[in-house]
Amino acid sequence: MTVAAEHRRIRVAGYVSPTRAWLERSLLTILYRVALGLILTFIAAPIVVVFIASVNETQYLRFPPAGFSTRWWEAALTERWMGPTWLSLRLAAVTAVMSSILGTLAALGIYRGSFRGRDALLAALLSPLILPQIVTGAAMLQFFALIGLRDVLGFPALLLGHIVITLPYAIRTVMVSLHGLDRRLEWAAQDLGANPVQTFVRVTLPLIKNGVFAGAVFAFIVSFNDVPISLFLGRPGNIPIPIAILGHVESRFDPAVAAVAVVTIAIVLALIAIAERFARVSEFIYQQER
Amino acid sequence: MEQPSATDVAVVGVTKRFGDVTAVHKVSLDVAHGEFLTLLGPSGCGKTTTLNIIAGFLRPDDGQILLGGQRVDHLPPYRRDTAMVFQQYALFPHMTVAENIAFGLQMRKAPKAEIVTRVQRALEIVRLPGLGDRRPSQLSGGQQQRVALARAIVVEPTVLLLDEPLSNLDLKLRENLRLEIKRVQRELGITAIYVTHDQGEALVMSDRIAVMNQGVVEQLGPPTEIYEEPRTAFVAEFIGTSNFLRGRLDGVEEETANIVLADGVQLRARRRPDGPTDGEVLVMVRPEHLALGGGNGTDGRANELRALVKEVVYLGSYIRFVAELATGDTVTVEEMNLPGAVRAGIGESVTLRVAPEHCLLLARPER
Repeated sequence: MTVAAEHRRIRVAGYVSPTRAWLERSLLTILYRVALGLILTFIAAPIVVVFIASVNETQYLRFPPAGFSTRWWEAALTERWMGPTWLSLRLAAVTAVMSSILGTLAALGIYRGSFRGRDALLAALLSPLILPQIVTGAAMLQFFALIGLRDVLGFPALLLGHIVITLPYAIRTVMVSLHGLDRRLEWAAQDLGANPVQTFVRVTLPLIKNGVFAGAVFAFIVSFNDVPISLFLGRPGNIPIPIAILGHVESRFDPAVAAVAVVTIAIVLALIAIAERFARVSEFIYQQER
Repeated sequence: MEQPSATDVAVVGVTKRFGDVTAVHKVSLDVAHGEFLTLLGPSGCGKTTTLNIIAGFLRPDDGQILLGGQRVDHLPPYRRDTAMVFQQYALFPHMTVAENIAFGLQMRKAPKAEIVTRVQRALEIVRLPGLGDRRPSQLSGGQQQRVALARAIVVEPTVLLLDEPLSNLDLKLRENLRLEIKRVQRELGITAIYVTHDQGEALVMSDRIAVMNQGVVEQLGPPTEIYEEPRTAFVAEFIGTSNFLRGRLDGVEEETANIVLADGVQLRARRRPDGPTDGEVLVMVRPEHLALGGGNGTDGRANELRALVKEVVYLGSYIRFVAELATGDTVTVEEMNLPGAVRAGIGESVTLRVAPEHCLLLARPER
């Protein structure tokens, strides 16, 4: 060991006064809290701003608002906006159900199976997560047009498209659940006389239901918020709410849009609150052990 | 012994390979009705694999499984009348204790009223009455294993399979529960196959023990026979503590053999009819059969060995001495801690005495 190195070693292990140690620790804590606060503000602030802007008196969106009025809310709650919202709700609900059923079956088959092309199949099913959705959407539109199914555009095409892009979420969450499932529980059930269907219904499904439910919630939210796929697969009179909003702000920018935005945010937040209450969906986001 | 009335389980020449590894090699077992058979061996000896083949979780590559005289090796687990108690309990976490126990009966489509009474009775048998409404997670490890036992016996299976059910519990509980499992098994007259690596459990609980090593049953017999008449060095080493003296066979009479140790000391040992006839051999002596000699009680028949005490371990009811022979072999001696017992200190030179009938001649394993 060189003399210099020896010198440094002694310095590192040397005496630090309690005051200085306290200062160093506090400084780090303060920095951390400031950074966290900034990030959270940046996430939450737009939502608050949009809500305040929706009760504006003026013809256009502005912040801080000038005066108070509920007239934009009255405009937002008409058929013009509630029609697409209702369509989006139905679409997201059916997508969530279909995606969970198909996703659960796919996850079971892929997780348990040992067939050739298993990895390739999983990669294919998860690929909508990686591919630019605008490309997927455009490709789907061309596909429907090429095979002469232009008529399905609207709800059926939207449903198919949304199932494709939400399936990865359902598959992933169910696979996480399966990973945490002790296979001996299924062995025990079979040993006690349960056939494969009974084993699935009585033991497997109840034990992975949080994963299935979390997948459904993700599917609902992704479908409800989707723009790129819906942009291509909707048709006049059959347009989900994000596309309706997009179409509106291209020409005008009035506070009614803000009110509609608040409605859609409220729907999603309410759903997450319910999901969290019943199935601890956050565990699937943060990957915490139970 | 009572004549085995009926064979409940027959394992006939079962072989199971995983890739290049033969986990179980031509294992054959017959388990009589009401018998408690233990598969004993170190990890990787194939005991759990054998159990899983009987339960139907694994398919044998060769051989047959018969339950109550019927071939079942082509049937899935849910069509076999077996019930398993797992090492990790494997209780259904989303069901109450009562629902767990009722599961097998529900699958067998028992009437509701009957299920209720049978679940109650099962809880009483495992001494957990009144805990039916709890969740498994609210129970201790010992209680969970009792529930697992109740869940298995309530369906009255042809054979109860137990896969190291006590190895996750602490020592005190383990000793308690092993007697409990044995009591339940005896009271119900249920046929049981028990897998363990714990020789103590095997000796206490079993009617017969099958000692397994590297996929093969090395010896099958009642605990006394396994302990007192081990056929191989492996069995002798695995069950209880054994001392092995290396020597060369020097003349064989009918039931005794003369052995010369490496340092020239002569030894007389008991030889089984199928024992080795010449060459390098082992003499097996249990620690409790070696006596620290003080000179008295010599009848001229006993083998005498000179040894140097290396270690003295005081264990309360007995004292363990570790001593080194002139050959370099180390032996363990256990002396009951009785008034007037011979004592020796570390570094002391002593004479060890053992009767020829307690010296068992064994073939030296090829290694």
